Amino acid sequence: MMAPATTAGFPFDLFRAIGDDRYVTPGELPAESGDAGRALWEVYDRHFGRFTGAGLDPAFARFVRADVPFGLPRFPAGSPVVVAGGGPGLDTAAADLHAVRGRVLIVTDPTGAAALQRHALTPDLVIVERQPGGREDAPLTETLLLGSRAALLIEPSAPIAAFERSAGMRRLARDLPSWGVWPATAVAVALRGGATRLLTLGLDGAIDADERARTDALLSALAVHSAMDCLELGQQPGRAGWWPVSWPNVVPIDAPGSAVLSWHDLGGASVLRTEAERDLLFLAPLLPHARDALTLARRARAGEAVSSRDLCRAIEMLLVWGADPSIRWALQRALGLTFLPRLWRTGVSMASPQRLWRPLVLALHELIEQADRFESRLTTLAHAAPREAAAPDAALCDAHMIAGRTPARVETDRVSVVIPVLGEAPHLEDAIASLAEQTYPEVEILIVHDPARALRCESLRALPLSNVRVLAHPGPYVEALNAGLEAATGAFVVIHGADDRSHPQRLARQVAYLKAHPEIGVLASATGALDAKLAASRHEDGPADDVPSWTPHAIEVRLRSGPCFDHGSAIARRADLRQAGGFQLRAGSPPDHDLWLRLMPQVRFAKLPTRLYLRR
Amino acid sequence: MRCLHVIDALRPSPLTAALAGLIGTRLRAAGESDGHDVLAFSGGPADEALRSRARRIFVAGAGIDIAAVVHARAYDVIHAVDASAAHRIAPLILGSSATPLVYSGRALALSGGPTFGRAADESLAAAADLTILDASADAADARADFGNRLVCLDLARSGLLPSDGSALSLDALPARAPSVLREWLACLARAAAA
Repeated sequence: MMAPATTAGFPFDLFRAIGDDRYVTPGELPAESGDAGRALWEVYDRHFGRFTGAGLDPAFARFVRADVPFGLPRFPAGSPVVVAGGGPGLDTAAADLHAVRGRVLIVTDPTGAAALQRHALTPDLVIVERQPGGREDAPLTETLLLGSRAALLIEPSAPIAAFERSAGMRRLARDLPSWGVWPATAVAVALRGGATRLLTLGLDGAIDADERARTDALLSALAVHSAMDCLELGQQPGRAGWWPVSWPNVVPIDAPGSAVLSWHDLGGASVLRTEAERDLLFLAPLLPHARDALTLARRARAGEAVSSRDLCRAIEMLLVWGADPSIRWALQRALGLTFLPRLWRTGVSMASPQRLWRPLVLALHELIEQADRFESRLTTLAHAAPREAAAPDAALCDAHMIAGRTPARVETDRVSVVIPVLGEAPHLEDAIASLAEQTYPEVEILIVHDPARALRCESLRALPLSNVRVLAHPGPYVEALNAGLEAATGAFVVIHGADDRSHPQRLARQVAYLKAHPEIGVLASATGALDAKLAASRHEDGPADDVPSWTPHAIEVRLRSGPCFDHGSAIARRADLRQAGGFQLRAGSPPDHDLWLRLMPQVRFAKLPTRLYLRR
Repeated sequence: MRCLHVIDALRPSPLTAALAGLIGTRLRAAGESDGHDVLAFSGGPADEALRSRARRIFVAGAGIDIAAVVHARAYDVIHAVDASAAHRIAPLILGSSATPLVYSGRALALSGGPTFGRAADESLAAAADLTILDASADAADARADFGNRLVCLDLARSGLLPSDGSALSLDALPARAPSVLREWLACLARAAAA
């Protein structure tokens, strides 16, 4: 059992562990947790239903930022730390905050940073948390110009944010003390970093009553059980432990003349992969039992005669796993499960043995799916590292490709996704992220750009994704397409729009279909539109896209009169594309449509009715 | 049919408005009417609109014991209206009751906000007694192995879930909406009777 370390008298590790959902019952709290433990558990029980979900990473996003090191911010003693939200309170306080800006440190979240930006204020620290509750995505952050003063403290599993490049410093947070309530996270980070005086303002934004109650309860628990001076500005309801203050008194006379954040380096993020591999080894013996139990539950669900005793045993197995803190934590941390941890908390009733398949299917389906995805992700990472080391220098690769046009070796399961970039492509990172999140493991991403028009693509060489290759190729669009086609090493090729997104299962589904239908050479899919808020709008694909028109014959008839599917949604066999002579520039027909027409005598076309591709 | 509809929050949204429309729908012209309760994990301004149509509204976090609501009232069916609510309520329902669970899948609110993990969402659909999807949202979710446990309704095309995110006016329902609402309610009744 973990001993609660203290920071400024506060049981910091306990705060983090409860927020991470490490404890199922109050009886598991360390004996020495005392009043603070009881107070925190009460908040956890009453306001979070004993599950925050704040530590879950179901999309395994934590492996994406391998190049960003861990860091712990240090706050100078005596300098006030302002936890600033974007609520109306910020509007009234902005002028006064400007006046003392050099003597305080400002901590906020991305939304608060945007609000501060509107008042020409730059924060010192922006905390980037993941959406709590097991969510895989998050609203896009608006474009921010954070400047060199601002540093980002990023939870490793937080989604890729558009503004990251604009910050002065990026550090991953090791064991972020998060309950999914950012003001509390900010206060806890300040507390751990040695802050002695804290002020909140602008936390009066448009949040609902329950969220406000959660925030107030957590901030109260933090203030009451720490030794910090906790102050609040403006007309607040009055949180326990927080004292009202007015501007002249925010910065004491003896506060340092300038406040600067410092950092304690905690090493590289590669530890996350090591940790994950260890978790997988630890969990491996459990997985066959989980698969057997899921098979049993599915048979019961299908109406087959299954021994209720066997079902009860399977349930007992799940509950035993929940009773073992090390198994429990490994499952939560490694696989990002949401249902099994909740079942450990709600319990399972054995009163209806014939219905016991229900909790088993719910929990084990997720467990097995996540375990498979986790193993696949780790396998990809393991393969990527040596492949990366053996890969030829990118510049040599470019020269070789342009001069010799020697066909690359073909990997039979690999999909090569070519992204031609001939302009600004403001959503290129988003497009790459959608490809990095593919459930299909064998994907290479080839970014072909014209340095004269898309110079920023060069910076993508530093992306922490080993399956991304950046090819500089000056020239028109058709040549960029052919350069990508030449460099592709996969048996399947996709030409992807630089601002578009693919459904995470797109490549898995399309490859599976092509393998099952060898007669099909080009497979498209329905497409959707992606608006600025990353919301997939209802996309009318046209009346001709009813199911009968998706037959190969119907598509081929329509292709003869013009383009009838989005070429970004199409996947094709590389050998067919090369045999047809690649892309060519001809009058009267777009290059992709021209290629499809030339391919038509050799292969058949099909289109999946699912929207697997979203266009901007 | 005694039905408990579970929704994440009582915020004004297309889904909340559609739920209000669903609760106001009657399958039978006369005779015994259905009893609809609503459980929300957090409150909001849509409380009034739903309260005028539902029999009871429970808001968790205001001292309501969710397990007590679910277990003590012997509902015929529990309907998780959105992904967020479904993820929170499903372990309790599936783990400790025999009440049928209907999950109106995440595709219903595709334009409405964050979604949850795909594996988790598919697990929910695999374990629920009935999953309802929007017919136009994502045909790939119409998995053959779900058989008759999966129903696709024309919610978006009927105007019940406007793609621009605007809330539906219950005073002026689109022409096709009433029939789709009756179909939706009939699905709940079917699950309750199974």
